[in-house]
Amino acid sequence: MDAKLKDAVAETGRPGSARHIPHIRNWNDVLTGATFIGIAGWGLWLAQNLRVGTAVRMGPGWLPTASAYVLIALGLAIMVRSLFADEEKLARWYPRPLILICAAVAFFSVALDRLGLPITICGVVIIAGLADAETRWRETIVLAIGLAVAASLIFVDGLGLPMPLWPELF
Amino acid sequence: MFDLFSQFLSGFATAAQPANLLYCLIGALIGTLIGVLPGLGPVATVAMLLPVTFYLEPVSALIMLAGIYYGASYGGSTTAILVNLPGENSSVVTCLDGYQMARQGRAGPALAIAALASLFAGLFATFFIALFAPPLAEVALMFGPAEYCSLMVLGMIAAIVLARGSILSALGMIVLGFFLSMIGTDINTGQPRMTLGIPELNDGIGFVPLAMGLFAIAETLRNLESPEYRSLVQAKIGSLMPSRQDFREATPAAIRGTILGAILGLLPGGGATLSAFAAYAFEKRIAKNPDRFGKGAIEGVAAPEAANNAGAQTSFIPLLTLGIPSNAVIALMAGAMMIHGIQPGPQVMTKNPELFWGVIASMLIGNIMLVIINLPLISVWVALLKVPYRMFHPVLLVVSCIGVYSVNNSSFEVLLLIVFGVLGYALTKWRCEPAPLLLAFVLGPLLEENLRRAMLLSSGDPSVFVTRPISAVLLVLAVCLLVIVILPNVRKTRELAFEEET
Repeated sequence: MDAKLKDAVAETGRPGSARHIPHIRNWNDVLTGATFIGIAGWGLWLAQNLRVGTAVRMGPGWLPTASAYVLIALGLAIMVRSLFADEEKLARWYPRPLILICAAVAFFSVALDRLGLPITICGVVIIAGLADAETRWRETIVLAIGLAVAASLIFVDGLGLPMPLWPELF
Repeated sequence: MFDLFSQFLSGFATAAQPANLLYCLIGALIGTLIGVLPGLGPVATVAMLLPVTFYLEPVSALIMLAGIYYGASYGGSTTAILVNLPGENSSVVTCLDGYQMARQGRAGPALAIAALASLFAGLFATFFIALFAPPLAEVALMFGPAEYCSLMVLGMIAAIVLARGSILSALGMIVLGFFLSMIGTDINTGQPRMTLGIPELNDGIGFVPLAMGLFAIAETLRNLESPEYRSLVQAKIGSLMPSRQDFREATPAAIRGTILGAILGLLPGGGATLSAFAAYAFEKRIAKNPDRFGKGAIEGVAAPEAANNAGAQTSFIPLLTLGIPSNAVIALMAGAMMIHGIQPGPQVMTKNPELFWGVIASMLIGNIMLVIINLPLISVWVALLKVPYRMFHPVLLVVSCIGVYSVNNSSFEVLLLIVFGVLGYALTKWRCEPAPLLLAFVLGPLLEENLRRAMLLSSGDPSVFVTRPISAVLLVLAVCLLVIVILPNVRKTRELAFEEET
């Protein structure tokens, strides 16, 4: 479809116009709507046992239920809009940083109590280094060790945060 | 008037305590640093530093966080002028003329005018806050639960208007934030709500992992997507001294920018970035010769730099008087206050006067510090630009993890960081800005409490919100705002404005 025709369709492709062919034009909107509906649906399911109460004496479940329904309605509206909106490409995701940065944080969460702060930091820095295509390993290793020492001194010795420094020996 | 003056002086006494001076300096230094560095903004930084504020006095914590916010706009201009890369969103327009000046060998005067205009704006905004905040707080003290509800609704609607992306999505983000704020123990019955049986969630979702995930982690993820854009600093800075003509042209522009910025900062959703854009557009419109803009016009540097600093500072007024944060950074500060058990709002001025006036006085001190930090040390900041991002992000990640963990010594909250990091990344990919979510999350418990109280007082009659005059006015304003953005041509302009921004 050439650009001019596309413009013409975008202009006339509104509901009620004869040339309108309903199809999803904006997958980003569909995903947004689905996420809203998903979270709200989950919330409704979790809140089902909470007493809703009346408008005068609202129970603990009144507002969560009400806002979940509003969120579902908005989600649906966003999804319906995707049929009529201007064409928009689905945003590109970059799995490498996403997975590895999450892995680094998860590693911190799991390892800290078992391996102690310095070793955990080295692990986090190395996993985070994998996330970046530009990482130079010699640099990253120096950074890991430097950061491990500095953080242990500042946060544990200096500020007295209760974090283990050494691995727990089983 | 005399009363005001003496309170202002007592604020100085607070701000001038050695510890507070130190935190002011630290805030200004960090602000400049992140301002200079592209890819690290004040929202992410303040989110990352929230845990640190647990260990500080509330006044010191706020002084430091405030310093980061207005300091960032100073630092951002340095990068904008020298490398044509906005270190900060609020400095995007400074690139246009600032970089052109640098290419013409006038980087020094551009930097000096940017700093001096910021200083002037900072000083003016400080007095503006001192003058206008107390009367506003008095009005707010008359508010009952119904008025508070309506005010919060207005604040949230305003956040939608000024958020990038579609209005429906922004509304959804608000409701989502409100919904998330209800997870945890119900205030009235003590019953746990939607906690999945996880004991850590009984106190609700932590503000720190939520904010840090949505902003710091999501921002890191975005920055790692593309290879870093690096342009080397070749421009010689040369003499800093602006010529007499520079001063003559820049002074009125700086004054106009300051006033515009101070007013726009008051708007919910306003702040540094909006002010800078508006000031630049205004200068260009009133200029005798608009063609000069984009080719190194000094007014194009002075006005937005003055405006962004003024806007950053006056956006504290809604927080300190009404308890309504107007943008994401201010919402984070509201969170920091709540962490210390201080409810942001009109009572801050009466219950914690040392906090209110101390923070305001510190802005005066901080702005002077910033000029001293910035001008002579410019070469140091420029050298920092040579440190690549691959060295930064692991450090940021480690600091974020330690920070979240240290709040409750909880590994679980570190995992929440992942949840909100991914959510923030996904939602920005789909053009939903996370700022309204954060705003609603902060206001959520307050809105729920007031709504329930208002309904109880009116025995379930929802018409209280429209029969009480102040509440009705606020709601009408909210509806007007919503109608205005939905109007097709306003919508087009709004989209255009945000397009220019990105």
